[in-house]
Amino acid sequence: MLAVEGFDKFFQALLQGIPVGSVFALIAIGFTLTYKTSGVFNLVFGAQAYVSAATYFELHVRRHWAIWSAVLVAVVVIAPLLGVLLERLVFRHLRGARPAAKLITAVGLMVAIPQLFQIVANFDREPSFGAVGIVPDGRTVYQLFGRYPLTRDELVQFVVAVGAAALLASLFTFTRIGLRMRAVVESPRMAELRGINAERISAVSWALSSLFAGLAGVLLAPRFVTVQPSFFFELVVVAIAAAALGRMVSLPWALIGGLLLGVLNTVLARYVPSRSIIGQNLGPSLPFLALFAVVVFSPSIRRDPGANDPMATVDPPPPGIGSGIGDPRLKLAARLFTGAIAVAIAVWGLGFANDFWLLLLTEAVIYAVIFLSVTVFTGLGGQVSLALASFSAIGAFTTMQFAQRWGTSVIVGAVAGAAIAAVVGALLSVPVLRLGGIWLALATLAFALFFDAVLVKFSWVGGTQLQQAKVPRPLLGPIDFRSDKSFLVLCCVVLTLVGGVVVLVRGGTTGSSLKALRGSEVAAASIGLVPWRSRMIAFSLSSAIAALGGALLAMSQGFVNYDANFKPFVGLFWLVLVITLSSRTVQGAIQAGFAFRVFPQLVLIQWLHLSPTWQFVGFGLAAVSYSRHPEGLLEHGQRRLLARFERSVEPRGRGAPGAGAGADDVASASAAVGLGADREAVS
Amino acid sequence: MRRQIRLGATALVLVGLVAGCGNAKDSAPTTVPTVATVAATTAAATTAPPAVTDGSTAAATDTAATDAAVTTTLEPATTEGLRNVNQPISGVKGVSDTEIKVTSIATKTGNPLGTNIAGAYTDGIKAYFAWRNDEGGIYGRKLVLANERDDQLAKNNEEAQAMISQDDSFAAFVATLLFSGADTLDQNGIPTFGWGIHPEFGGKRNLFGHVAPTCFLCAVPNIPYIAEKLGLTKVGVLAYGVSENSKLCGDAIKSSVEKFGPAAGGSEIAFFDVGLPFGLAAGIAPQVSEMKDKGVQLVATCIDLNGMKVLGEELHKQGMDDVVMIHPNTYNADFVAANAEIFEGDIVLPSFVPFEAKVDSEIQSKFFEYTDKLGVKREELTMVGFLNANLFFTGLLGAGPQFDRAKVVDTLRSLTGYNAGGMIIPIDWNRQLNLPTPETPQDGYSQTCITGVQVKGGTFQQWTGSAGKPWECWPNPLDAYAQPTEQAFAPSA
Repeated sequence: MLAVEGFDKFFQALLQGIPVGSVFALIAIGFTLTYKTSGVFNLVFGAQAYVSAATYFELHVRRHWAIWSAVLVAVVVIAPLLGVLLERLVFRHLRGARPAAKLITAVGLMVAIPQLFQIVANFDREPSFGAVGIVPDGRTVYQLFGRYPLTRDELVQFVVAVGAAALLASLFTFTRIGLRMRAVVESPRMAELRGINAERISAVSWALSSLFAGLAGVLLAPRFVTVQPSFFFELVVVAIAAAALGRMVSLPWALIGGLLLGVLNTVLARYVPSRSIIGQNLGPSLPFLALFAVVVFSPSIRRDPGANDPMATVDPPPPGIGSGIGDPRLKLAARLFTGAIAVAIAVWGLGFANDFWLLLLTEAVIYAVIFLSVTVFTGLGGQVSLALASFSAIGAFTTMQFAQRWGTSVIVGAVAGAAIAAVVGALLSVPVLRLGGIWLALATLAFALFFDAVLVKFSWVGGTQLQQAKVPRPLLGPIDFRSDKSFLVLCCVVLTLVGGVVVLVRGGTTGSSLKALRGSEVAAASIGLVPWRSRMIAFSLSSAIAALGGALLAMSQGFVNYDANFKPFVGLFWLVLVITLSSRTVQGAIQAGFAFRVFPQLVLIQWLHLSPTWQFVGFGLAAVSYSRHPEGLLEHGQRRLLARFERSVEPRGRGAPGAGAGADDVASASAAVGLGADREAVS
Repeated sequence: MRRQIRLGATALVLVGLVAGCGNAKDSAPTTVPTVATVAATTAAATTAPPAVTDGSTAAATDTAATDAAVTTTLEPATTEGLRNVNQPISGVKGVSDTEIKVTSIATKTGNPLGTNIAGAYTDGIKAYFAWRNDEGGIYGRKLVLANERDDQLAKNNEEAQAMISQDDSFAAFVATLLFSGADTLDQNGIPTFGWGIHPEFGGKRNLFGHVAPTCFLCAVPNIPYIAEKLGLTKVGVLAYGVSENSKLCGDAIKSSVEKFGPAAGGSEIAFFDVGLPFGLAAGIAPQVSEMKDKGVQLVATCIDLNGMKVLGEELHKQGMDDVVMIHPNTYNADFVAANAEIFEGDIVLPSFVPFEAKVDSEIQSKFFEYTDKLGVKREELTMVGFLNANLFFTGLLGAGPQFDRAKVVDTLRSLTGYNAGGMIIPIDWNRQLNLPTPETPQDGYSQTCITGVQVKGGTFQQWTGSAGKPWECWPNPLDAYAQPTEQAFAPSA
């Protein structure tokens, strides 16, 4: 009798997990399809799902179209069209780019597309709720085997997911286009030699995977009150974990992975006591733990999808980064000009700016500090971390805890926060830094989401909201930084110090090692460099800098505003912003800080009278340029300008070494390696 | 190398300084006037001093007799007779000879709930201002909502700072999902009126919610009473783990049921989960199955609309339609109508007299009249905006024709029994400044009251109290369970 009851309970939990698991599976399949056919780790998938879900919502719920016509437009028309556009306009041109460049581009598009859709479709014009499924009366309940309830919406989710997977399998197995797609997956160039139009096949793959995204979007929509991009972003991360279980290449395993995660979620919730710490945290953290575990402990997943392509090496190398300014006089002039601008801003900020602009200016400086962590890990180290905001939060929370619990100075708290972040970074780097590339990025994303879903809610991490966790401004001996202006001065001092440290590191042993590693890890190892050591130092330092910035931000605002400042999605936008502008220089980080805090208010709102949402669209789309200009748009523009100027002042017939040629000319001749390049940056 | 040495030396100096450093205390020290201070201030004013209750009941009386009553009573207002006196005021931001301008900061874009927060809230303010302006305004000036700011969910502090620096505004009206600008508004002395759901309203003299700061942790008899009234005993509690507010709210329900349940019909906690992931994207089926196994009859929650919908659908799916849910945040007619089948019989607890309960209140009747006149929908936030505007008007009225921000705040902080024309539980704004805790019940309401509606066929029907008396109240704090008394706070009651 007990055995029957036990089975009954288990089977019920199993069934309850299958509907949502099947939607995870749908996304995982689409995700795997894109990765297999184009090598793109398509984080845009969530945005694609959102666009279809929002289109369906707009047409069916707001405009009262019939379900079938709304689904037709949202899933069969809009979704594949978006996929083809992404392939044609963006990812086709990145075929030869490094995986990390594709990832950055995808992150940028993930930020930009939902916002662009909202602007174009005027989707945010009025709040509304009432998302519904793709069948009428979706809440109608059926009793499976007479005792296990499933709604019509859930049955449709399961049937559509399994049906779509079966159709895809049939397409691959029995059709000519499927055969060609498989050939392109194996080797695009070999397929082209056989007369297959690889680009067309790639476009078909994108359209198909986007169709899956759209389908998943409309199937998931009724789970929410309204349609918001953030819902779909988090679900995509779950689906990535499912795809990871299928090692990113196996469609059947992606299906199984999705179902497994859905089922595990409900089974664990049923058997682990809900009042226990494990019970309250295992469910939310399950997908992120799974993703982390698969990425870290499954070596086969990290195999380059092009590794089996016998013609993979026929691609030309990706473009490199232009060199620094050659003429020392020009270099001096550029530095003087930059210095003059800095002095002018400082004079304006301390003398004339009102409280609002002073706030923006102060936060721009603070964000510049945070962004210097990108300069260290991505600009110098050539790696991508997607946990930037989480490390900033560690600094902010530590400062708050030190001030609240022990009554210590916030400066002590900030230093302790930086130290703790450095230790956490070092510990995290042990399993993840050997991964490199997108796998490292994925592991850090898993950490960021775990921090967000689980760690931050512990009172010893995030404190308690009800206690109004204050983070006061500091006193430094006799100097009181309570006023906004004196605090701005403090932030400038910290920025100068941290910037100095970054410059020192870049010129020192660690910087040289990172540069060598970026060039060739094998060659670097052959001369005795230990890759993990340099990268661990860079990651720890980067984490510490982010934490220091987070602490300053908390001091500036008076408390830790986690939801507004430190959510993982926010960190992704920071990364895109810095990398798009310039990730290799201190100047780039400062420019990114101002672009983040001052630009939207000054340019978008005050001058152009546009919604600040355009900030996300602009910088997100600009990330597309990363593969062509990994040095960043600002640095690229600056180089071109200076090179042109330099050419104009040089006597005819005399070449200008280094920057004498345009950056593009240098790029074409330079065999760049790694995320960064092997040439010096302008500091 | 020399650069490195210099940098190291600088770092050492900084470390040395850190040893002797500390934290700044709260900036901009604010003086909380005592009773005497307020009375003296108002007595010295050239115009009649304030002694108002709320804008709806103010009436002219002898000005000389009011000083003693300033901080303690609900005596009729003294400045009503001066309401149309237009005296020149200089140097007060947002005030011209013809207008008093205010700014609203509300969450318009990025609202994950899909509800009409900003629109409904500003509609309520505009409806109130329309009413007062039709009467001639105040001190010869019209009330104008001059700026409507959208905090985009995450930019509340920035918008607060922008409002202070850029807007020609006398006061701020705030209805947002996050309230990071609370300190900024308070420290700059801005009279701020808002949707009182945030703990940030606590401890800030210039900030006034539509309700006073509420004790999140206190055991109160309302849930056990609802269970008793419905004849149910098995209570389930659900809250989000990622939100401290939600989690603590769940804990408070549990301690309430444990404290008062045995005496209130024998209700007990049968299921308790305050660790739900936000949004419930993966559903809530296992928890509902467990509740079914444990015979839960009543579910008290601390979750949002999204969560209530997911929970309602799962209860419906698992054949638990008889289970009653208590909604803390679902007083939204459209939402309930759209989900009628899953919310049937549920109890919703608004923080003011529901629209369905007609009371003899000028505020309520004017609310109906002017929302109709402006053609706006009546939602929870519309009433919150209306109530906020009424408190603002009350403060202006009490401050006299030579009003400024400080006088308005002083006036409001002197009110001891403000009830917005009977629409809310009386607030002692002089005493109820800080967030009350179980250890500091003196900071809280003097009584615990509920007013509730029940969902019937997709509409709300008054469920608590009786005709004209929509509230059911207990003294606060309450040691032993007792039946509540029906009350009305409307002037005629």
